[in-house]
Amino acid sequence: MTSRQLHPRRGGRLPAGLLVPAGIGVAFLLLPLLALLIRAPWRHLFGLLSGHDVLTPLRLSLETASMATVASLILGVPMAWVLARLEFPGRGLLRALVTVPLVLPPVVGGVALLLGFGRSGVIGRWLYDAFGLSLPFTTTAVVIAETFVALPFLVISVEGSLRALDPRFDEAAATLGASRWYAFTRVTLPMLAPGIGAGAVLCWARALGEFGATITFAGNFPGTTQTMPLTVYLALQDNPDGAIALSLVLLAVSIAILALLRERWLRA
Amino acid sequence: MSLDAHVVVDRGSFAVDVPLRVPSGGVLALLGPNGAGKTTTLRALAGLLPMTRGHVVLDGTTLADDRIHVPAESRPVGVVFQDYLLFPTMSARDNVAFGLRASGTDRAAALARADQLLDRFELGGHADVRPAKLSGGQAQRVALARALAVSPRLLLLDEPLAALDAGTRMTVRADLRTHLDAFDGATVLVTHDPLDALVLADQLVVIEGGRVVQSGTPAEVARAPRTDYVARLVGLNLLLGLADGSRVALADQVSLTVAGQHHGPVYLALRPSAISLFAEQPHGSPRNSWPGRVRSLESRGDTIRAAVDGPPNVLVDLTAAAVAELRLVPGAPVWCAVKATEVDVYPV
Amino acid sequence: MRRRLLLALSVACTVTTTACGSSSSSRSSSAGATGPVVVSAAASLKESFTALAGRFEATHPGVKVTLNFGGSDSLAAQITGGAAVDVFAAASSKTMATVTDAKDGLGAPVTFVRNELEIAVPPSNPAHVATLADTTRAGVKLVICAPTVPCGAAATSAYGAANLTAKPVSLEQDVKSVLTKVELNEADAGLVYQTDVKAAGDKVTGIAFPEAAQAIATYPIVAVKSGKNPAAAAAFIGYVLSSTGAAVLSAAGFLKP
Repeated sequence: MTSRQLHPRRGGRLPAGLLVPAGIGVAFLLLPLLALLIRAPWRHLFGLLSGHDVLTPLRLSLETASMATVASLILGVPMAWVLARLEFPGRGLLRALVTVPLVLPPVVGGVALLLGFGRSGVIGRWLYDAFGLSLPFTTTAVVIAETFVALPFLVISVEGSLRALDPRFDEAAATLGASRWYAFTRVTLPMLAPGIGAGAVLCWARALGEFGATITFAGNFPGTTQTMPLTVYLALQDNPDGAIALSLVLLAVSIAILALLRERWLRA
Repeated sequence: MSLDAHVVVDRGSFAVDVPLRVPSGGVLALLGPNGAGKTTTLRALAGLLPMTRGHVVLDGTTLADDRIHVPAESRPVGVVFQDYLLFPTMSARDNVAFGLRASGTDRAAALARADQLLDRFELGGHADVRPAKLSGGQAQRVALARALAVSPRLLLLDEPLAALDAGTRMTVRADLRTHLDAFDGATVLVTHDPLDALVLADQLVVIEGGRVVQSGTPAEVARAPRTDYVARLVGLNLLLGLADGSRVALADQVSLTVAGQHHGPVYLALRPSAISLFAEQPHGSPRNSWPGRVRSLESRGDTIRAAVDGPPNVLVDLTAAAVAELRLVPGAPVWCAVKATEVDVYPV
Repeated sequence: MRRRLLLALSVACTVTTTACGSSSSSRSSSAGATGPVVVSAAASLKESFTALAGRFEATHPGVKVTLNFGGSDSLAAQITGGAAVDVFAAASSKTMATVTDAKDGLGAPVTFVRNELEIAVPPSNPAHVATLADTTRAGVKLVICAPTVPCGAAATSAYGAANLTAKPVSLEQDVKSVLTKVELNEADAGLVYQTDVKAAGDKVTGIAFPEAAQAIATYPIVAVKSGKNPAAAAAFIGYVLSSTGAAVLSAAGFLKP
C-alpha cells in the first residue's frame, strides 16, 4: 500500500493536517488586504485624496499615536519593572487590572473614560472646578483614549523581557562598583531595548488604529479629534471610494513604520 | 593579614559557618560538593548576601560585622562569576572599562586602561568583539580583566574553569596561575575540581554541609583526606577505625593490620591500585584479606575501576586482562587483599 | 408570482390610504402579514417606533418586529451595502434618496411625519443658553450631528438661516449621541429634535428657537427590496401611516406630514 508522505524538512515530519488550516489562516488575513488593493480606485486616487483633506486627519493620527506611545513608555516601563521585580501583596491583582484594557471593548473603555475624566466625571469634575480643565472634545482626550488602550501592550511586552533578563547582571554590575541607577541605565535598559522597542511598536500601532474609545470620549471634530480611523468610517457612509483611498493611505503608513521599526529594534 | 573573615549565614534549613584567613597575594581554594555552601560564602564576601553573624575585614577595613554591612558596590572586591556574566550589549573593551566608568573615571582614561589590560591578557585584537562572539577561554579572560580593572583588594572566583571544555581548561588553568601570581591582593576561589585547587591555590579549605571539615595546603589535604568526599575526589579509599597497636578495628567487625603502632581513632587511606583481587582467599605476605562481591565495573582509559562491597567497601583498579581472567562481572564473588605497608594511617 | 401580486396590492392599499387621509384602519392592508420583519429607522424615531412596534405585534400575532436605529446616513449605507432590511424610515429625503437612487426601494417613499429642531441643554444650563445665537458664543461647548446625518444637515440650515457660524466641539453620528453628551453634562448645548427633548424627560431642558421653522425635517418611509418579508413590511408601513400610528407619533412630538 503506497501512501503519499510529506518529505521531512529540517528533520521534522510535517503533519499534512496542519497545512490546511494554516493555509486558510494566511488566506483569511491576506485576502481582505489584497481586496483593498484590487478595489482601490487607482485612477481617481489623487483626486480623491486631495479632495478629501487627508493630511489633517493623517497628521493628527500620527501625532496622537506618537504622543500616546511616549506616554506609554514613561508610565509603562516603570510599571513593568514593578510587576517584574518588586514583590508585594496583590501583585497578581495589579497585573490583572493592567491587562483589563486589553480585553475590554474599546467603546466600553471610552465610556469609562468619560465617566472618570469627563467634565462631570469622578476626577474630571475636580479638574474642571479647580483648573477649568475639560478633557472631552480635545486632542488631549484623543491621546488619553489611545494611551488607555495601548499602554497594556507595552507593559506586557517589557515585563516579559524583564523576567527573561537574568537579575545576576545587576549583581555583576554592583560588584564592579555601579550604583543601582547606573546599572539600570547602562546594563538593564540596553538589554531591554529590543523588548521595549517591540512593545513600543505594538503600542503605536494599536494607538493609531484606535476608534471606539476615541469617538466616545474625545468626540469627532476635524483637526482636533477626527483621527484617520474616524475619517475612514465617516467617509464610508457617503463616499466609499474616498474611504478606500484613505484606508490605503493608512495601510501604507502602517506598513512603512512597522517595517522600519522592526528592523531597527529587533536586530538583536 | 589581607582577608580576615568569618562567614556565618543562617537560613533555617541551611547554615554556613566558615572562617577564612588569606594573606595578601595568597590564593585560597574553597572545595566542596554541590550545596556545601561555597557560593554562599563567596556571595557573602562580595556583599551580595547579608550575613547572620560574623565579620569580613579586608586590609584592616571592616566590610561587615554585627553593626555594619557595606554594600557590594562599595567594596573593593572583584568577582568572576561562573558564567562570566559579561554584559552582552557591550564590547569586550567596554565591559572591562565598565567598573572604571561606573566610579567616575572619564571615558578616554577608562578605555585606555581597558585596552592595556586586554593586551596583558592577549586579547588586544578582540577589544571590539561582543561577548557572544568570544570563545570560552577568551570570555573567561575578559571577565578576569573586568574584575581586575577596578584594582580590587580581594578577588573572588566562582568555579572559574567550570564552563570550559577539558582541553581549554588545562591551558586556561596555567594562564590563570600566572595572573593570580601577579595579583597582589587576596584571592578566594571556589571549585569542585581538586586539580584547580592543586594548581592554583596555596591554601585549601574543604566545606561540607556549610562547615569546614578540613583545611591545609592542597598537598596535605590530598595526602590525608578526612572525609569520604575529599578521598573520592583525590581518588583514595578512606576508612575510619579504632587503632590498638598495629591492628585497626573498622565497622562491621572487620579489622585490618597496618604498619607501625597507633592508638585511638585513625583514618586509613588505601590507594585503589594498592588493592589486589583474587578468585579465592590468598595465602602469602598480604596481612589483610577479606571476601567481597563486585558491585560495578567502570572503564577508565587503560584501567578498570571495580567497586567491591566487603565490608569494607573499596574501589580497586585492575587491568582489563585481570578482569577477564578473574571473570569479574557485577555480583561476582572475589577476595580482596592489601599489604599492611600499603595502608596510610593518620590520626583523626 | 402570487407574492408579487400580493405586494402590489399591499402597496396600492398603502398609497390609497395615505391619499384618502387616515380614516381607514390598519387591518385592511395586513392580510397575510406574519413572521419576522426588520425595520431600520432614524435614531429620532426610537421611542415612538418602539411603541408602535409593540402595538403592531399585539394586533398582528405571529409578526416579530426587529428594530434597528441609527443615523439615517449609516442606515442607508447598510441597505445599499446589501443588508436584509424590510422597512426604512429616514429623517431626511436626502438620506432616503441614497436608497432609492440605488434602486433598493420598493415603490415610492411616503412622508409620514416631520420634525423640528430644538436646543437641548443640561437642566442646570451651565452656559446660560437662551437663544440659537447663545450656542455660538465662545466657550460654549456645542455638540451637533455630523453634516451627513439629517439632524446635522438641518442644524446647518438653521444656522445658515440665522446667519450664524456654529463652532461645535464635536460632530456626532446620530441625534441620540448628541442628546447623551448633553445628558452627561459634557456638552453645554446640543441641537436635537423636539421629539428627543420630549423623550428625554427631565434629563434635559429644551429651548425652542424661531429659526427651527426654516429647517424642518421630513421623514419618508419605504419598503426595501432586499427584505425577506414584503407582506409584513407593507403591513407595518400601513400601520405607521394609519390613525393609530399617527396618534403615537404626534404624542411623541412629531409634526404631521
